[in-house]
Amino acid sequence: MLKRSFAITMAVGALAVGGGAASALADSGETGNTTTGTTTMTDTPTTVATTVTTPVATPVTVTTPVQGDDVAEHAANDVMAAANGVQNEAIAETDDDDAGDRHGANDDSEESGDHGHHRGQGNDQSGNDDGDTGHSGRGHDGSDDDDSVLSAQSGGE
Amino acid sequence: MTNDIRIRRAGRILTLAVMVGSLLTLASTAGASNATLRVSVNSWSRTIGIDAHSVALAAQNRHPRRMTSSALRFRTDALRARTAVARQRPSTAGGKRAQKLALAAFTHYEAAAQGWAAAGRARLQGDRAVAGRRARAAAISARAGNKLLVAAGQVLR
Repeated sequence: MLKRSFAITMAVGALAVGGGAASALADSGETGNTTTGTTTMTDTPTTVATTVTTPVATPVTVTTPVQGDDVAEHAANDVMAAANGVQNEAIAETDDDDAGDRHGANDDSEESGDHGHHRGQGNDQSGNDDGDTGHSGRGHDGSDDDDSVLSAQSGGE
Repeated sequence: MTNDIRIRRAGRILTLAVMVGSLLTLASTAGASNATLRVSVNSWSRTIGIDAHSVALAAQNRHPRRMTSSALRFRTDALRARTAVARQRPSTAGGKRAQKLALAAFTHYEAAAQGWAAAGRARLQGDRAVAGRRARAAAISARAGNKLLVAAGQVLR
């Protein structure tokens, strides 16, 4: 009787310890993914330097790009590139590509072609950076484009 | 007498096992909360990076309308990211710190996006001076957001 009770006690204890350990091991990875080793390359960081030249105005150059291959750092690099791009566009003396801009200005066809692969909340980092240079020019929405972009003026500020 | 000793020993072992199991379970739960936060921050960082890339692309192509609409999308996603990250419940001090950093980062990004949209609209109206000012202010916000997001990523690493 005592032997049995002792055996049951040991079994329960082992289950508790084993369960806890298994849970801890399972949670060390991201949800839904098999835990795998991750190698972070810190010795050879990727330097992204964007220089956009404009004929008259002084171009804005990224002087201190964020380095590394972390997701947040990648995002930071993209944001920095956007900030510099907007600055260059704002001070550029050259005329805008008005015709190209009006082509599907709101459907962001050019951008959505590029980003369709990346969007979503999953962890999938796959996808190609296609469509960066392509100009699909799908759908000419005419003056509606102007209205919608400009109508957001009051809400945006 | 011998039976009493065995029963006491079994009881002690059972208590110890339950305590160890509980500790491991608690540790794994804490890890899971921070892992969820990391997934959320990484996921939204990716989305933000995609939107930023879209803004940069439009700016580079001299498409102020697209730049404005992309900036507005960036702003919407920054706000959504803030909401999603705020919903997380990190269990450790590091996790809480990372959450604060990420929230601050997305707030700065939201401000940057507003500046980009304003710059785009000013550019559309031919007001280069205003566009330049807005773009410069937005770049400051973007830079601040970048630092905070990278810091959050480092804490969560």
